[in-house]
Amino acid sequence: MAYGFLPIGVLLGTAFLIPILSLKNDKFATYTAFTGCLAAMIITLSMVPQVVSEGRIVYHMESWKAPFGITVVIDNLSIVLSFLSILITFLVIIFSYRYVKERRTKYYSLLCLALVGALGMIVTGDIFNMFVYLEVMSVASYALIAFNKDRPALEASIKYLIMGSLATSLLLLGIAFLYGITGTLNMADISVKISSMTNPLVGISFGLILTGMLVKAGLIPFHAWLPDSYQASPSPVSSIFAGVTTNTGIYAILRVGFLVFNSHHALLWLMTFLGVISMVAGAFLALVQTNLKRLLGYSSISQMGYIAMSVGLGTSLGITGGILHIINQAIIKSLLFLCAAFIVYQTKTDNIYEISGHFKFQPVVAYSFLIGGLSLVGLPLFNGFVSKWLIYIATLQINPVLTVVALMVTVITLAYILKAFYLIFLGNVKPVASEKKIPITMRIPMITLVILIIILGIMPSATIKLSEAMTLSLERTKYIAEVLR
Amino acid sequence: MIPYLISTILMIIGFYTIMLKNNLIKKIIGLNLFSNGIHLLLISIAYRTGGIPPIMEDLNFIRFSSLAVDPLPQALILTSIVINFSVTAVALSIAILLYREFGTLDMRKIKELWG
Repeated sequence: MAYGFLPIGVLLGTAFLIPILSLKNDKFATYTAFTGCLAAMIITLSMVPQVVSEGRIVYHMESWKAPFGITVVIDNLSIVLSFLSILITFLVIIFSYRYVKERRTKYYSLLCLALVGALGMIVTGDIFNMFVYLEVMSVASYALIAFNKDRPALEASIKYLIMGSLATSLLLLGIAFLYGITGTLNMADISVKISSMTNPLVGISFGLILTGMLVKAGLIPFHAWLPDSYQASPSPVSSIFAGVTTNTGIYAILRVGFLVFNSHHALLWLMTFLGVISMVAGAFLALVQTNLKRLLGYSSISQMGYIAMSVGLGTSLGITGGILHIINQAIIKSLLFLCAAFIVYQTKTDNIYEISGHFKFQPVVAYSFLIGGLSLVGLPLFNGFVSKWLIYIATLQINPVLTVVALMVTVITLAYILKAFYLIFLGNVKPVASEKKIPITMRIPMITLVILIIILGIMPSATIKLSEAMTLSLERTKYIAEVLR
Repeated sequence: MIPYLISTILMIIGFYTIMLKNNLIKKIIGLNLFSNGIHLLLISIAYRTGGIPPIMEDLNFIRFSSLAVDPLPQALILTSIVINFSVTAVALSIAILLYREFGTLDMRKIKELWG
């Protein structure tokens, strides 16, 4: 019985059904992707009651017991992240209906494949499977970045391809070492076997696996691909990257770091160190950008830095704050990228100095951008406030210097968000802004995300409770006991 | 011992090529060399002198457990080879498009996104 595998199977089927069904009319690509995503979302939701009552469901593929067969492990953390990933992709599919007008078949197939990779990484309990899904996600992303086939797109794609496949090769090398010393690939089983080993290969394989994951998460020394690909890919795809794929990288670090390597002493130190660097440098680099999508890309690095720093504190409050910030920044960043996508759709430029006085034409987009931006800064009543507040408290308990740094970065975040808002939406009207109405298919995703931001922001106790439950599912001994039962 | 040595040499050559060569095609070849080095390492983990396929023809458990090779690394590298193949295909198709756009494959000259 592999019910847990069903969302992935449905989406994989959808991805290959799209080219067949849209042979005559390529609008069917959108409809098929829409239906497949909706089905996957419903199946994921149908697993929620069982996960809530049991805490963790373990599916064994074809009834092969844990260390031998492939396991699919669904707990609070993975079900929330899979639902979030499917939801964001679903909204992006709706948004893309009017945005992508040619080569729809390829676009939606690749979108579904990228989602398959992300979901697979989130639910799998097998480290080699994680590598395979990571590659599925990466290959789909390489092709999606190059989708426009213009000079920046091709350059960004080849940069990401070389960096990304080197990273996944290092990940495979790490897995090969782990297999060599333990003889198993199940994450729980590896964890049990290496806990009593003093082999130096454990540390080496940990470093290799972590490097591979960090490149996908886009923390600073490994970030070179991220702004380029956010800038050059089709704008709704940037939304997927910000909301789905980088989160998967952070999730994999959390899972592998806390479960397999039992929060290795290097992990926490490294995460805090890289987190602080990414946070500060990402925010400063965002401040000087002239390209809206590049600005948001650097801002994404900065938010990833917040998450990494908070998780690296190692306290349960820090991890809770970090996990909550994963959810919140995914929602906020997808909204901001959808706004950016709409601005690009309307004005055909993404240079913030060329657009001006846009508020008059698009109040809906302006308010969405403002709400998303203020939530990113961490203003009360929006969801960003809750997670940032948790992060401030968690850092204050460990080291007040980190709190000061985090607050300073918040001020810089406010500066670049206001800069972008002021230049794009306020000021004199320039002729470049054309008066095109917002299609309803673009308005619905934006408004959904705005409503999510406000709902999560005015119910902080519920979201904190949720992320505490998600933090508990990172606990190692219980996971091992339930998987190897 | 020799397979480990060769796989290390392959990985070093691949890494050197990715990092220090400027031609895109050479970089892609470097990527392939690097992954093939890893594949060789993974397959040599399962190597046994005089090994037999892990199929039990007679019920001779002692012979089986002392000689049968571990089939899992072979399955793993087959998967990995297929993945590597698709990555190389994507890389080469992007290289063709890059050559059409830029007229060169020198990565020092393909540098428009900056800052």
